[in-house]
Amino acid sequence: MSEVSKEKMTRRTYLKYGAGIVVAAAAGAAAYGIYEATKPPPAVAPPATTTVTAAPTTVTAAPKPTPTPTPFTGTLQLYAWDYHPELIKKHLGDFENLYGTKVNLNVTPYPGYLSSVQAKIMGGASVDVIYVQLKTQVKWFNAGWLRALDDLPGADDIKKGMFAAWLPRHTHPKTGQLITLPYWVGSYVNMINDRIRKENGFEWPKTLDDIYNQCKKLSAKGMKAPYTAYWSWQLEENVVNYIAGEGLDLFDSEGRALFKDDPRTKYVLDWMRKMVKDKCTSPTILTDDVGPIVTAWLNGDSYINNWHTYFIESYNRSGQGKELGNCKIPPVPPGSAQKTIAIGDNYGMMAKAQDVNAAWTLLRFMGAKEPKTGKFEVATAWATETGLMSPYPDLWDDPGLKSSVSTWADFDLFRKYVGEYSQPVTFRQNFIWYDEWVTYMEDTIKKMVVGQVPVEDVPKKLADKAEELRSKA
Amino acid sequence: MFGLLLCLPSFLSVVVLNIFPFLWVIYIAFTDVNLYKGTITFTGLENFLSVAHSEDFLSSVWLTVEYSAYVVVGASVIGLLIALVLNNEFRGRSVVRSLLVIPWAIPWIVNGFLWSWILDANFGLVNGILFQVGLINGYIVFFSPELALPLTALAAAWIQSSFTGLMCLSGLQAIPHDMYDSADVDGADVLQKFRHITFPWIRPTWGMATLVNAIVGLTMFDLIFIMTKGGPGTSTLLLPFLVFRQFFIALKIGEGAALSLMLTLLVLSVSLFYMILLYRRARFYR
Repeated sequence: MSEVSKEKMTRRTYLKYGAGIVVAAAAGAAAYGIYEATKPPPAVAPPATTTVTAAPTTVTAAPKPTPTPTPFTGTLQLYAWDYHPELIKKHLGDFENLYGTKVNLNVTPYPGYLSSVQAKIMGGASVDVIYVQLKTQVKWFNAGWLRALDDLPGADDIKKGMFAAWLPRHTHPKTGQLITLPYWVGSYVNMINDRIRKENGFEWPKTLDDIYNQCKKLSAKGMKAPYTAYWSWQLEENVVNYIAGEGLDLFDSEGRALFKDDPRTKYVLDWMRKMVKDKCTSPTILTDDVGPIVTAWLNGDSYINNWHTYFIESYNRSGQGKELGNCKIPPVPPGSAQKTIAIGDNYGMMAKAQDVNAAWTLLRFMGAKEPKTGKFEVATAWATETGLMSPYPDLWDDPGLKSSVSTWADFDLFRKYVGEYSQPVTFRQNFIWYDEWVTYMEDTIKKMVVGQVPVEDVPKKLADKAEELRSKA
Repeated sequence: MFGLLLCLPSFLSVVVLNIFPFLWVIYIAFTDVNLYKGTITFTGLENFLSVAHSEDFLSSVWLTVEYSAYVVVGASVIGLLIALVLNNEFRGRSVVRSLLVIPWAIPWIVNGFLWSWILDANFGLVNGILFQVGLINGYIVFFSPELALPLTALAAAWIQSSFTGLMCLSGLQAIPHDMYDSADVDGADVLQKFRHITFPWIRPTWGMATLVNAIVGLTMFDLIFIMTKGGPGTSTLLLPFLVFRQFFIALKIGEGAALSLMLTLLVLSVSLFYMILLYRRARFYR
């Protein structure tokens, strides 16, 4: 056999065996799939369950390890996303100085946070305290990942110390158990360039139509992006906000759509369509990222920006641009109901925390009044340094905080927005199918905004999709 | 036997890093994964049917193929032209050749931000230049439903033309110069020399670069994520972005896996088509 043919034979043999292994593995995977499909359900030891008789579902309460009396000498594990990690580290250093407990900070980039930490939790990573997005906290609790906090010292006082309207964002919708503490809270607001408003003789906008009319006039004068919002990536928040501003909830407590035949839905959708069609928005509102939106506002190319309250701090204090300091918010939120939505993120304690006492001490240090010092240590720092607020009236009464926030916002009005005008939108956290519905809703409304789907078809399409997903769940 | 043993480490790494994840995706595609309960339930073809019946699937497939075609045409043609130019003698050639590497060396995400700002409708470089020289009265919205797809493809073609140019340049430098001397003696003009010597000689290289360009186009995620997020509307909702959305936003892991498999099939089909198209006559020149 020649050298050439030897080489050919070897390669062929190699490929043949390789292909054989791949085929065998594929067959194995398929067989495993069939086995999984046909095997009986596993015998599971009965977990500690709380059956809620009034509700159609059974809520599994997380196991509650008994607090240990001995001091914790290990290192706590905190999982967070990457917003100002240097500040988080500073806070954890303060915590170590106060209690002598070390905390290891695990930072994950925000865009992939959810998938990344969920994979780590499922993989058995050691996590004690974790940043929790509102939309996942009930699901994480029901999955047994988060621990209820009611039985821990001071939990009742924490609940009593919050603005009442904000409590549903931290409790389980069916059992009322406290499951998270606040990392930050804010409201959706229309941030208005007050210089432009006064120069054009505009009143504060009181309705969506006022916003349209003012933006249309500015567009006619050549303004490039009179109205901006993060429709490209957070359209759901905007839509929920606009509709809540008209006094309508999208879903009831069972997930049934309330918007299908309500004229307020069509009013909001019509408004969104004509805002784009009549050039009242940034021309690229469906693709704009954070950078262009903020730059447009600070350069005076934009008049109204509909976004989170902490941007007021950027527009009046820490940003850069000729319009720095001109940001004001209307005395009441525009819309017939004069309401806006509460937003923010939370901290939670894992059910498998190494030491419940130590984790609770850290959780309270970060998300409530610190019992040793009697102050909102971390919450005050976030508020003064970045504009991220907390839902505790006591915190807002702090004169130091008031003087700090007053350098970039009308403090009393800001407090009214957070304490009175903001309403928690609990349907965003309660239904397992909501995320899937949101992707459909955003696609449909984006198509509507660019004229690919008629406005009048949208409410029915969205309601039908919600019902389809709800019935499957 | 000893040779096979030597291959074992790399074979194992391929199994662990490629074959196992691929088989796992196949398995997941036939299941319903509930992340919160930690359960995996076999559902047969349900994910595939659900995906196939969704409103966005077919348009997304078509957009992906269209996007890939733009990238192939832009990158492969421009890359070839760049290589032909840089193969000629001129002052500063080595500097220009070095510059050719720069686009290819830029990460996709940076490239996405770069082109976003170049084409921005409010502050963009292109709009600024056109406005300053008086060619436009108002700024052009480049990321409109009509223009977003070709312009995001342009950003991809910019990087890939650099890659194609480098590949073709190496192919051009391997052509024996006496072939051109013979052609000169026979009286061949520039186009005839290109058609009968240059292109046949670099065809395998150019073909491989074109195939890579096609695959880059079919699997593009980074630029879409940065530049348009699938919009405006669903104008740039390519299959890889749809996969990402199903996996990480809607958290429909099974459907995401089913879509991934469909994307893989699409890439394999298109790649096969290109291979047949590009290599069917190549054997004449071996």
